[in-house]
Amino acid sequence: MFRNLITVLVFTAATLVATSVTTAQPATGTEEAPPTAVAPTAAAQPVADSAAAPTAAAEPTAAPTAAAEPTAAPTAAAEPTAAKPAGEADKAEAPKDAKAAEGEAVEEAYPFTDVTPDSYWMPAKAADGTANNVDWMFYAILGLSVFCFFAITVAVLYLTWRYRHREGHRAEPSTAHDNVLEVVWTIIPSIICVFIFIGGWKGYLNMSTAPGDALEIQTLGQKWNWTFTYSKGLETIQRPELHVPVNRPVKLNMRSEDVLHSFYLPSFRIKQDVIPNRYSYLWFEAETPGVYRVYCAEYCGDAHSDMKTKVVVHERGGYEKWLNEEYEKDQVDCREFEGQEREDCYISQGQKIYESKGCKQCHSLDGSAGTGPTFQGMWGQSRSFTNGTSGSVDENYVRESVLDPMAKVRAGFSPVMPTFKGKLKDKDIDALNNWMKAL
Amino acid sequence: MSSEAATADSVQEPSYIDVKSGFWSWFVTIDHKRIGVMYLIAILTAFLLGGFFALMIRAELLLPGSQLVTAATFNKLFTVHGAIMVFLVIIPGIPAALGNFVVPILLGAPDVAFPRLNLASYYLYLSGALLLILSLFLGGVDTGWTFYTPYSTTTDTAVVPAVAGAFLLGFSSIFTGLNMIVTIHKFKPKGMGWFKMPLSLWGIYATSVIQVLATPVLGLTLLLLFVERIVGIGIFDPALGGDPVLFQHFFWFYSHPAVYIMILPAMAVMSELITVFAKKHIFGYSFIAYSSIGLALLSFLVWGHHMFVSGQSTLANMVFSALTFSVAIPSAIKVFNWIATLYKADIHLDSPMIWALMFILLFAIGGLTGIFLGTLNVDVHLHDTYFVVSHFHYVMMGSALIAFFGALHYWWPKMTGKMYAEKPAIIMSLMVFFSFNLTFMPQFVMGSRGMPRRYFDYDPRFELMHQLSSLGAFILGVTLFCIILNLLISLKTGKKAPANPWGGTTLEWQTSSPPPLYNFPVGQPIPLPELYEYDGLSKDAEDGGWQYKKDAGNEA
Repeated sequence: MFRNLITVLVFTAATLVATSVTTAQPATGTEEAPPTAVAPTAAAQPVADSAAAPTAAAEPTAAPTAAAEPTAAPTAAAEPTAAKPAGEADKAEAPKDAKAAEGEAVEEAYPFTDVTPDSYWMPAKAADGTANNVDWMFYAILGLSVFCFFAITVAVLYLTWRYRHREGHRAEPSTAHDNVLEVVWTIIPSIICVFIFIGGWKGYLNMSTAPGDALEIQTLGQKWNWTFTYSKGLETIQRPELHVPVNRPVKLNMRSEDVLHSFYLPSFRIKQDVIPNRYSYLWFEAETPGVYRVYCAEYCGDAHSDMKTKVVVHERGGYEKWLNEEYEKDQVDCREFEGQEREDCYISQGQKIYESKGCKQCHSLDGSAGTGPTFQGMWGQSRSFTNGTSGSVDENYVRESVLDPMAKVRAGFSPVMPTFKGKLKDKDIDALNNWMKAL
Repeated sequence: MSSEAATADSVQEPSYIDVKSGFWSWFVTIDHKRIGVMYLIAILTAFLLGGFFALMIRAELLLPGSQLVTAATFNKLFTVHGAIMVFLVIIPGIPAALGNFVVPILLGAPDVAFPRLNLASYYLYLSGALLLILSLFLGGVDTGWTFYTPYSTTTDTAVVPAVAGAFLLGFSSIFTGLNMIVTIHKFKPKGMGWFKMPLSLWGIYATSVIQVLATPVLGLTLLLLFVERIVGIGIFDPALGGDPVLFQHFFWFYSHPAVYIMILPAMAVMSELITVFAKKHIFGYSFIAYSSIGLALLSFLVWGHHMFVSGQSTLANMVFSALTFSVAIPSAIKVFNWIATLYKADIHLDSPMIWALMFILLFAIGGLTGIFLGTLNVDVHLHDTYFVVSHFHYVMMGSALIAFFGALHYWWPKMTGKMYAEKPAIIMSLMVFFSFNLTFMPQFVMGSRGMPRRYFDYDPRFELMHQLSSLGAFILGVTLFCIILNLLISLKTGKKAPANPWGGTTLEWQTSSPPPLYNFPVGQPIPLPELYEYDGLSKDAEDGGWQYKKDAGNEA
């Protein structure tokens, strides 16, 4: 009897091993891929080599930090498909024929640093905060699931073997129902579920509530790229990659230009759909400088899988330096203009709209009430409306007020504002939001 | 065993297959058994087609970058694979094909309550299926089977015929559900109270309730989509003043209950198989029955868990997450009851039982991985990744479709009057188990490591896991094809099936295989054996099947 039980257990284990082996193999497999991306010497390394994966080559992955620009040139040449020379430097969209090329081999300035997974199950981690919550819950549920599955498998296999039909064997009389047993196995899973729900919910609350002092970055998704708008005072610059400082909360105000997209940062374990007719938000705080992947996770058409970019987490002080440099680059562009054009170039887009579209006539910037409320000091404040409700002034409120001014009229003002539907585009409203926030 | 001596004391009537022949005798039949068989043929054809598209997808994903097809074609492939498998195969699989065949017989009735409506639903199904196929020839659809707006309202692919097809399929499903509800209510024989019904009837009943209540919402949603595309009325498209997220609420209000349209009958049939092959009364009958109804009702309250990252409010997310966990409980109860049924049983490992045991294990994985996705913060990471893809394949394919094949092997002798070759059936079902896990286990790992779904091109880090998955899929595809082949071969060479080949106590085993036109010999009382009581049965009938011992006095 005891020996039989052992036989069953061995068989069960064999089944489990068979399935886990199928997933265990990739563990070594995935760690092979990185070398081409990071090691500058990889230029001449053929793909056969990287498949055979000398483990030494995988080590340097952690080395380069965000500022490691010098490696750029050799990395670009690190074309893993040995047959084809790496001629292309097309950075706008990953060319189709460079299929086996690592995404990072094409990009130059900031090579990905998230190539080594955090663990067997989870990708590299850029912050402990929300990511640790997610990972902890994930592993807790994984442990529970493996235990339950193992128990169920053992029970099914053992009982099947123990009570299998054979000569002379009949079903033994036993009860067909047992209310105590039923209640027990209803209540125990229920209690476990309550705990899991609470754990997930608490983690989610942290994830969805951005601290008030977060650095705000406008994020625009459109087929099939991302655009990030950084504010510097009243001015803005736009870049296709996300740059953030370390150890500071960052809040993304996101909007889509066309269909649904979803902004996915595996290294932070967060994701949020990006929608065409309203702003959605995502916040995170990076703790480890590096370069991490950004994917679009909501299907959006032909180049859905190419709609990816990177988030560069700068070292302390690096973000401000980067922003200044990039800003200067834009300023240089402005200097090329002459006369009126040059003057326009320096003025923020939001200010231009304010002055040219007629906002100025009713809304002051100095705190005095006109026909409409002043814009000064308005952002983020709670305001009450004539319909009895109240709410805070944020992106969605401004958007609504521009397109449908009668929806929420500030208490103490008359409902006289005309709609700007059709007159202001979504990108104009983006610019207004950016500018108002800085007032 | 001479076939004529099947039931010595009854007048041998011609079976429903032999009673008439020729194309028209099938084309305009109102016999529920023939309609069930026609459904089965259509569903298996659709299954092979959908499976072919799945293999195309897996072949494309063998390596990163473009291998066989362009990105646009790839998007059409996964759309049509999803649409065919969901709307044409799994939803009608057990309720419409097998349910149609067995429900009236399980009740001892000659047919369903509305035989003509039954035929009408079949032709609605065929028309919907043809429209879906037609959309392929009009260039295909690239929206994903979920038809999310505003992509679906702005893409220039053949969305309109596909949506029209899904609309018709929805009505086919509603009519079938209606028919089943009325049939079960009105045709229960004397002596069969609600809690003396076979569990497969409970499952079909709960399923039909969802079909009737939820499917109209899908119909209306698709109609609105249709109106928006044709007339340009802004409902979902923000460019026209609509709200794209509204579509997701409408869509999942149907499509989440639809998951239970797929899994409830699967669970019910598995309950049936486990008790029959364990030769022991099912454990916790009433708990299994109530949990079916519980699942049917709860399934209406959890649609928001598909939308945790859609921009839905934090409060809504919290409520939907909590409700989602409540769905886990009835499913767990069922699993425990199935396992308890095996205790002290006499387990006959015939091929349907192998499918049933596989079902328990695969459903356990599908259910347990659902806990990850119901947990709010974990879902934010896993949402729209391969983890989700793998999870719902474990539920829809690993559970619902495996149950369909188990049930098909169980009722095949009754439907066709032929026994299939048992050894190949068992070997291939085990191969399905192995290759299915090989296909989808790596996808869990890919997903949690951050591989988004519906990706034509992918990071080379995921290459090996994609290749394992593809390898599994190819083996799985070939095996399933061979399984269908094995069944078809039995039509030519199979031995004649006994009336009760497995020793079942439900009514369909008390009539000949295949049954006569009106299911039971006309003019004779229909015996109603004690449900799930196997003591009086032994495998010594003259036709090689099971029968009640003459002195047992089991006749009702």
